[in-house]
Amino acid sequence: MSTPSSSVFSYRVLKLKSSDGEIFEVKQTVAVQSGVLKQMMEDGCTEGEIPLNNVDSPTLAKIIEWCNKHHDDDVEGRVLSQEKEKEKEKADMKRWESEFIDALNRDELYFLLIGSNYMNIKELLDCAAQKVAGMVKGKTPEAIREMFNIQSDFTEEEEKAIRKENQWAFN
Amino acid sequence: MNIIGLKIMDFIIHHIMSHLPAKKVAQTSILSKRWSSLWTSFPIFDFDQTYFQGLHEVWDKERFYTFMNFVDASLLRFCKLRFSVQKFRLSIGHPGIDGSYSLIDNWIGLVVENEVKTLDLNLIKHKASMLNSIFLDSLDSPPQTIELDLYVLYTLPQTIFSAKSLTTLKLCGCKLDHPSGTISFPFLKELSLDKVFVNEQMVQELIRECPLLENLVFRYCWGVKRFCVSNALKLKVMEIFTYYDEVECFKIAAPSLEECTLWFEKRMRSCVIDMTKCPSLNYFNLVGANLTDQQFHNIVSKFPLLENLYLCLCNFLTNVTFSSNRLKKLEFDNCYGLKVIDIDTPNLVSFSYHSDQIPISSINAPCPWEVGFDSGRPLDTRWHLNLKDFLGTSKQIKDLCIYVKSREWLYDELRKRDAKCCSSHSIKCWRHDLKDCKIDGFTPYGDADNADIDDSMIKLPKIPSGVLKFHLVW
Repeated sequence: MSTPSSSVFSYRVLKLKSSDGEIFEVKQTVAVQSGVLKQMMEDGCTEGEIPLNNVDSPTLAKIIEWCNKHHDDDVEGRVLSQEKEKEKEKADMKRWESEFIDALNRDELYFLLIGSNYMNIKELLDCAAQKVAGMVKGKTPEAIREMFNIQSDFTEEEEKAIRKENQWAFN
Repeated sequence: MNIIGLKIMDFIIHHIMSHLPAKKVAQTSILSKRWSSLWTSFPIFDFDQTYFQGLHEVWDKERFYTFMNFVDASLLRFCKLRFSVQKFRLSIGHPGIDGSYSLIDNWIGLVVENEVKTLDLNLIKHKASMLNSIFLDSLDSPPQTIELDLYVLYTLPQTIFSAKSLTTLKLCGCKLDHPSGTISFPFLKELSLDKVFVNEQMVQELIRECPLLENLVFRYCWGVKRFCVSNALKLKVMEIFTYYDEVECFKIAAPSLEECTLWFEKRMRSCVIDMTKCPSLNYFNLVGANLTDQQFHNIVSKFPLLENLYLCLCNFLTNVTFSSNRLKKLEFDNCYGLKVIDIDTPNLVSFSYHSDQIPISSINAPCPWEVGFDSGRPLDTRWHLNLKDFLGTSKQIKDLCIYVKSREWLYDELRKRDAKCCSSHSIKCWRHDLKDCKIDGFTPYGDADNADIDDSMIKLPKIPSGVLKFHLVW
């Protein structure tokens, strides 16, 4: 008996290797959310372990958790009859996303930013960037420096000059 | 931004910045030299005069020029880097703007040269000196309150037509002259013209030459008598707002159109709406359209996939009859002329009806209903019987609102509900079966203090004006 080739394809698994050497197995259908892995699949170079040098294992685990959640097993086959159901599902997903992001500490969040950018997962990058933006919003420049561990390399005079030049933003 | 030796890349920081308001982004320029240069290379420009001058302040020439100089310097600095501009938004509105037109021309030229993707210009010139007198949102204040001098409207430079990289173009308060060459926006997905002076041919050409156009907004523009959309193969969402009777005819042929809003303000006469070639329409919002019953029927019957219908202030409608197995959401909002409705919509999930009078009806809609009547006069038994008839076909009333203008009257009615006013009549008064009445909540109008409301009906006449909710037990 022959099986449709697409379903064989969908159960194939990629082996991702984190920067600290741990191997993670991910279904191809889940992995396509990463622009980088999608490109590799299209180019047919996903045999063996795929090294992800910029992503450590705790971050990769988080990324895979996100992708699994955002992956629909059978997108085409499923029909949501009611508008309300669709809306509810969307709202549930939004809630899950914010809980997922809020649970991260600052370092985890930064690593996730770098990891999702490196693997080109647009939605995750966007979600993480939005979270960081929210953290920045209510803060003074001094507090932002502290948060991002930024050392000011301006002299007092230079800083004063910039403030004066962009007075509109500081009053 | 450093974390354990890892440096977050410029691109990511720009991405974070894109979620911040313009002021906050500018503030990051003093964090460090790196951030200062990140700010200079940030490809999203949001220049709004109100960032420099509060909405309620009198226009100040000096601050205006500070603003213009800031825009000029920022753009020039960025464009030297030879990066492409992701977004350029400029919002100015004040009496002295004409002197700056050539500067604005230059800026548009610069961003077009740098492959701008989103261009958003709001350049309403207004005569009053307060910024807040700009006609900010047309839904709140009627358009005739701004004294627009069409001859001093800013005319967009011809360079705009060579902006091939555009994906979004939003124009407000300006004039679009016919191009000397051809128009071509091969990537444009979103086009919004708001209070723009155009002509019919121009609009048609614009729509025809944007093969990817998905979203079209046309708000209170001048110069168009016949509004025609054809060959818009990808168009999905369209919103048209017009006032008075300027536009006489709409002819819309858009095979992918899913959502359409036609909003007519202050319309006196009827107009022709031809939407026979919009077979994919799912959402149809019709506001203030003076359509007859027959015209309305002709339009709606051409939408086999329609699921959401909103009718508001369509006051020429008197008798609405239709049936649909597909319709999910139906809303009648103050269509004052409506006397008879006869609808068969077995799969509706939401039905709402608001008006000042109760129509004679036959409604097959087995979903929860939201109903509101603004009676304007004391409710009598005749009214009560009509209401009973109207609600009689409903399986479930989710929300029933009755707006009563005279509070004293209501107070009397509710207080003397034990009175045997109708005991000798075969038709009982509306409060005959009322068992209990409690105040459920109160929202005052405007800034009035929150009145101390408990459930005692005694205080009722002393409450300031506002919306009072009752819990009635029948």
